[in-house]
Amino acid sequence: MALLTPTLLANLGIELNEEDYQSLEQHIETTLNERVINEIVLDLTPAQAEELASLTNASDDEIQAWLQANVQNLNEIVSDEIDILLGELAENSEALANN
Amino acid sequence: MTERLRSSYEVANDKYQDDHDASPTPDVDEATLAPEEQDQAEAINERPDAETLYKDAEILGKRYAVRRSIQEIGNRRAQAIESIQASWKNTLATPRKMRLGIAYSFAESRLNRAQARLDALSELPDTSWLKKRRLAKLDKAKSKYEAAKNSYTTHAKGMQDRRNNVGKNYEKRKNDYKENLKEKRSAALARKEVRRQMRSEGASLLEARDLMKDIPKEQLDRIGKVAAYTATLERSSRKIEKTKKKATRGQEKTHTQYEASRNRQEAYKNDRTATEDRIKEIDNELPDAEANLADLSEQLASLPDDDPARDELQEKVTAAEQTIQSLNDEKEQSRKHLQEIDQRISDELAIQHDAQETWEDHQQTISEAAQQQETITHYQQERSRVVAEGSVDATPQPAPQSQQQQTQNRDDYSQAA
Repeated sequence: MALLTPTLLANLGIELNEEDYQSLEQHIETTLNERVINEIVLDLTPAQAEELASLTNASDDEIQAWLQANVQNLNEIVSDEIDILLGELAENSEALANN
Repeated sequence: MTERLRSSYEVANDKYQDDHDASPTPDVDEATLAPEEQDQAEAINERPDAETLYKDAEILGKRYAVRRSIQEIGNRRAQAIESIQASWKNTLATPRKMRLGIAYSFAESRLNRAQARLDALSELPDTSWLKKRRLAKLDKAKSKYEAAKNSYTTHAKGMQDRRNNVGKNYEKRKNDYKENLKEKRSAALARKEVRRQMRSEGASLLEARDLMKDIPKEQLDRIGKVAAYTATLERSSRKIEKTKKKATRGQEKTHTQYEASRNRQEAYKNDRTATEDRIKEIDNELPDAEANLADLSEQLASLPDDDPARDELQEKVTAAEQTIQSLNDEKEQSRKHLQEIDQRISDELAIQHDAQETWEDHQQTISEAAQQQETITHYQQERSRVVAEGSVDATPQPAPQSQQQQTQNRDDYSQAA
């Protein structure tokens, strides 16, 4: 997932070594996933939630198709969460750059 | 370091969340919307039947259209380019700086000498003509010194500013970029808040949350990842499309510049040919003019001093001399003009070379963008096919092997994107 790139960090004045970069990327990705799922849950009815819960063995494509069919504004939700996350990164760029 | 990095980020993040929770969520009013979004919002609001024509989600989608333009032109790269440009301009400005520096140094020495000469006459009265003369010379040396100092300081400061501006521009771009991301964040938070307000609150929501609690965390992570992944893919797709359009526009512009340069070069070549022809003509005219002058001079020399025809002949000699002088001047001017033309032709060739390289860079960008776009489209089509084949089922079949393969494929696409 090309959400966090070295160019983006460099544009914010953050220069990290490979280990820190991987760590931050992992953290960003995990945070994004958590926030997205939280928002998705807010959009579901109990029946839909139950249906989603039953998709344990479904493939990624099947889960994706289900989400597209059942979650309104899925792309907007994810897109906004990305914006929020990158905004937070910008907010904290000084602290990150000084570490 | 890693732990410190993460904890610092998380602490700052938590602090921001606390601040955000403590303060009211910014209302999404017209002022926070981009002009294009405002137009869309106004267009929707103007319709009396907007509520029935557009569902909330549609209004949301239209009003808060998500438009992304993450700046991927590296700030460091821009800084490097600016730095090279500044260095090159400073290199060109260095000889002038040296000349001005030498002039400044000479002016200072002259001033010191003038001061010393005046000091040597300290015993003489102020009315002494010598003292007055040296005082006048000192004033003149002072004014020259001030002028030389100003010229040198201005020029040197210009060079220094040029160098400093590279750093300042870098900081400005960095801060602009940060502000841009923060503004997007604010807008996204506002949209998120509006979405939350528009959702139904109450028992059903709590029930849904309770149900989700039963799902293992790994599965929830997977769902979040899948959702985020595809949306990110579409985001990348939009960005690639934007890059492609920009490169295409750049390519067209470069082509226009190249053609303009070619036309200018052609005009210079024609000018050069005409100038060379004129030099040849002058070379042909000069022997005749010189022969004419020699003939007239000979006639003039053969006439006695009191001959009445002498004045007229003298005028003819002068006219012949002026003609030769004029031809020589014109020839000299034409030669200088030829040198200028050669320089301009050389400049145009350099422009054309740069344009060709830029065009190729754009072409490379377009090709890469097209390739990436194709990969993403292929993946999206594959996904659509899966959806169309009706594999979306509340009780899907377990497919551990294919799932693993899909994950691998997705990683491949991720790298491409």
